[in-house]
Amino acid sequence: MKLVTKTSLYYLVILILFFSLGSILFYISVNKILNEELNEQLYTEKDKFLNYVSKNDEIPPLSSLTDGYLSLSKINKKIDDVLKDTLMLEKAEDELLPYKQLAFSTEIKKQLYEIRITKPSVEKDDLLESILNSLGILFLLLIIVLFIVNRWLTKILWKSFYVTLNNLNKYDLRAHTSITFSATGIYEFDQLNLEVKRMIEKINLHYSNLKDFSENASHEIQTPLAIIQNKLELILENDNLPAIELKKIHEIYETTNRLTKLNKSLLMLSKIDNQQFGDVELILFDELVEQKLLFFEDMIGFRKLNLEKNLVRDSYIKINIYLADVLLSNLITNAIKHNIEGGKIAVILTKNKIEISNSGLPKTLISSKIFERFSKENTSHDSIGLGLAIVKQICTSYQFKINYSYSKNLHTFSIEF
Amino acid sequence: MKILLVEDESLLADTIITFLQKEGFVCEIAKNYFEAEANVSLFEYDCVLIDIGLPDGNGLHLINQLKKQNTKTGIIIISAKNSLEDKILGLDLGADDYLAKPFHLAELNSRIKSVIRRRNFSGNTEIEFNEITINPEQQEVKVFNQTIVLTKKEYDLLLFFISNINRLLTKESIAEHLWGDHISQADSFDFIYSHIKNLRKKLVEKGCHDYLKTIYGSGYKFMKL
Repeated sequence: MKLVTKTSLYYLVILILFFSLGSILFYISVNKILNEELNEQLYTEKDKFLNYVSKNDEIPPLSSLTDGYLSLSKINKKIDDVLKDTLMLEKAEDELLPYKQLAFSTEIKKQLYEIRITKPSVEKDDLLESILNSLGILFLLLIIVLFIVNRWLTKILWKSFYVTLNNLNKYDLRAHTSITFSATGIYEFDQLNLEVKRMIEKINLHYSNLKDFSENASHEIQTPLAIIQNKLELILENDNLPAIELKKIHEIYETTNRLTKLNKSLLMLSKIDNQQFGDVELILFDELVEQKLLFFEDMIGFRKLNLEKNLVRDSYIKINIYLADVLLSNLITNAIKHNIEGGKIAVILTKNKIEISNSGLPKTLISSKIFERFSKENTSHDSIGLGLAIVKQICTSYQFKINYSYSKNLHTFSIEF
Repeated sequence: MKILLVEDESLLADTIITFLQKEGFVCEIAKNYFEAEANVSLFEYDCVLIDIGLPDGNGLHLINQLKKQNTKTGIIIISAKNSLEDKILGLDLGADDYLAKPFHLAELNSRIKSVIRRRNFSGNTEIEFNEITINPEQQEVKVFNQTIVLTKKEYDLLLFFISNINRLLTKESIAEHLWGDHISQADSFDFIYSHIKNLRKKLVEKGCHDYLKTIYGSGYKFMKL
């Protein structure tokens, strides 16, 4: 739910609550005021009556009564003032309507009378109705105004928040840039931006350190590996060693070789990620593909593979030449290696796409998994499982789209430049 | 042939020296930049192997010094970093070759010989081994003066063997020599066997002795009989 909606709902609920409370209070106080007003009027009439009586000692004329009824009845005993509510039948409306009545006694011409003055009281229903109506309209108006103002304020005040959000969205850790915010004029958002900037700087630093560390670690591994490999080579030269020992030594040697290749590949991945192959040129791609196919032609011939190539001429791609070499070599050697004897390799190059297909085991590889490092799909005792990961990494850094598909018994890798 | 190895990692240096001495090179070691500078100014080596990751200075500066001395000394950079920038820079400064660690000893050997050939014998660069003659500039091979036609890979293979006579060439080092890092292990070994078979056949057809010996389990040797 959006903040502005939530705020509006809260306002709505609170307003309803307070308006209800307010309406009740308002009703009570208006009622009270009206009641008191009416009571005052009754007492005023009484005073007027008694005044006249004391002056003239006779019953005042009915017309002196401003609104209401007056009734006299002779009584024997004095009574105290009685103020009460009563109902009387209103002939015109044929309804029982509420009245207020003040009864008092006084002596006129030596006779005790009970005087009753009755005035119409405000119909509670009418009162309620009019209060509710006015308040209701007020409430609605308030809600509308609040709603509009809320939306407008939100837009203005939260603008910088959305700017920050957008910046965060666009931020890419691997782009090695820092994030910048302009002053917002709102303390909280300035604080937010400051903290975000600090956090990103920290993350950048950690990431950078981690990358450096893993790259340095790989570098450090090269020399010990070189020592092991070369010493084993010297040992293997010794013909006098028993065959069993030589075999074991050779196995160690093979394994060392695997480690070496693994390390080199990891370094390659790290460097590509670090954008250390920054130099790009316009490479004549069809020429490069031809070169690579020539380079591996003996392998292709050895496995009796049928090479089909369809290369569009003069296709130029903007890419680092070393990475282009690695990209093509990995894909081509994969196509040769995962093939069957007498199978087929097809290479199709168009202006902005290359497709390398090979026949092979009728097993569809899981597209999402084959580009992962060391995935089960890729590793075997002779493959370190990084070839395709490297290809993917290269594609990612140039934003090329790479895709794997299997159809018509052909495994196809395609890259869109 | 005199070689200077500039390498601070002594275990590695010892291993390389042992190997090169077997090859008949006279070797000297410099363990740091300071020593290397001194060595180079005192002797003219046929080839200098420089590890540019030295503790007390960048080996690339050594290249400058060697170039200033205007010698025919071959320069090979060996580096654990395998940095493309270093490679380009080094070659620009005048180094003859760049080899990343870890490398196969046989590979180092073949590179050294290649560099020395290019630098020293400004006229005749032909390699002769008994009945085999190789002209590296034309990439031509003759047996008993008769040209034999070899594929590029077969030629590279023969040259590799002849640079490492009597040395064990493991399948791994042959594979890396022919196809670089792009090859994984298991597939290449059948290829290699077939290449060797073809090479052997072409040589023997022209009356050449069969110098190629299979060392079971490890690799091959080009044996001087």
